[in-house]
Amino acid sequence: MLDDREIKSLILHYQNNKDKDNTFNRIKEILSEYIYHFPAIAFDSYEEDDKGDFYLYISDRLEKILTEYQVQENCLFKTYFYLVLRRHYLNFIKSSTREKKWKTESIKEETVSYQDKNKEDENNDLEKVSLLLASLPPFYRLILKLRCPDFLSPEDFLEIEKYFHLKPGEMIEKLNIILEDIREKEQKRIQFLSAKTKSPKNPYRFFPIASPQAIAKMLNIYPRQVSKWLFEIKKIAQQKIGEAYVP
Amino acid sequence: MCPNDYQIAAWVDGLLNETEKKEITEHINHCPQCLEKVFFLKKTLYREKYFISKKSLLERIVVFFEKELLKIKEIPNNFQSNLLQYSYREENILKNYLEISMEDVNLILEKEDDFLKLTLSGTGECTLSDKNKRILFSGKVSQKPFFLLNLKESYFLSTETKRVELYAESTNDKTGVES
Repeated sequence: MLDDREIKSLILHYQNNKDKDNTFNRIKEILSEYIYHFPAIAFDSYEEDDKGDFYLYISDRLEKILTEYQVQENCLFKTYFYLVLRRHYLNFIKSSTREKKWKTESIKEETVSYQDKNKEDENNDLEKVSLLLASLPPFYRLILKLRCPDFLSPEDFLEIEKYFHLKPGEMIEKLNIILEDIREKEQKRIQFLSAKTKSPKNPYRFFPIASPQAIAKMLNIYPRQVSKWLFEIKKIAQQKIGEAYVP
Repeated sequence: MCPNDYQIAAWVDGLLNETEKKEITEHINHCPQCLEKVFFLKKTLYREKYFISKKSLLERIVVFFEKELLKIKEIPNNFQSNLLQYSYREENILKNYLEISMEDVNLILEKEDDFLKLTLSGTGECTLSDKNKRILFSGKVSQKPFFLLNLKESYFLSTETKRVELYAESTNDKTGVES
């Protein structure tokens, strides 16, 4: 993973013209993975062409980015770099036909190779959740999105304020509660499955889900209330989409 | 006035003092653009773990494979040097996987946090067992079974004529494949 001290030290060397070419190449080598995968990580754009073109786009601008970076600032380089990449990516997709292509391309999973059968299941699950979200009243839609944080958007934090009187800034901070909960569960799941004698059929959730306890902690309410809401969502799902489905 | 990108990043990283943090939090509560930025960062920093390799593990595997190939070439004639053929391309580092072909059984090795994901494919049959000879899989690989290997253990994969051992060496903390 990215060593903050190392990268900042290299950038400082670069800015001070110390062995500039080699330093630049070393920095580029370290950052290449982050740049290459950025469209997929941040914008669900998995097309190899897009990733490759964006990589070249940033490669042309990397010297300027490094020259302008203020090493003394009090943040991790990677976090700041993601904001820089975001700004550049939004410009990148606005150019020529990129925007149209980006908006109409469907999401494809490619970084982890699933069995073909799993791929069909994954798309079905995504579709089910999307269908369910569309059929729910706004409040339950919000609860389900907290359950499946991959579907969350910034506007949902304004909704949280509306229903729970909790400020968006403070809620974004508390989002870590859900993300850590998911990370712990996934780790345990992977460890459990690796100990099994048979090959696992579906070791991965196709998208991560948060526990009622984590959601409750984030919203400062009792877990049983969240469980109650999820049960209501299940009932609505039965009525609207004919299947008592809640991830 | 909106905080600059450094301040936004520091807020997300939790590296501000209490006063600065409070000011920026209060600003985020009322600014949709800054709210979007911090949400973007939170989500991106969380998602990156699914994409970015723990390079030290994968690089060690790749380097070890290359060393093994060199080693095989130097072994005397009675050792079949074409036992292990593998395809390794530069972009595999970015894709975090390595492919090995053992005639009609193919292995794909991928980084998965602290585990190695082994996917089998092809038309042949093989047996996968751990160091205690406990069989984890035996049969045709056409269904593409896959496994998460804890490399603190050793594993053996055998086809009719070939055998591969997957292991990590604790002395050098080296991970690799040996046939």
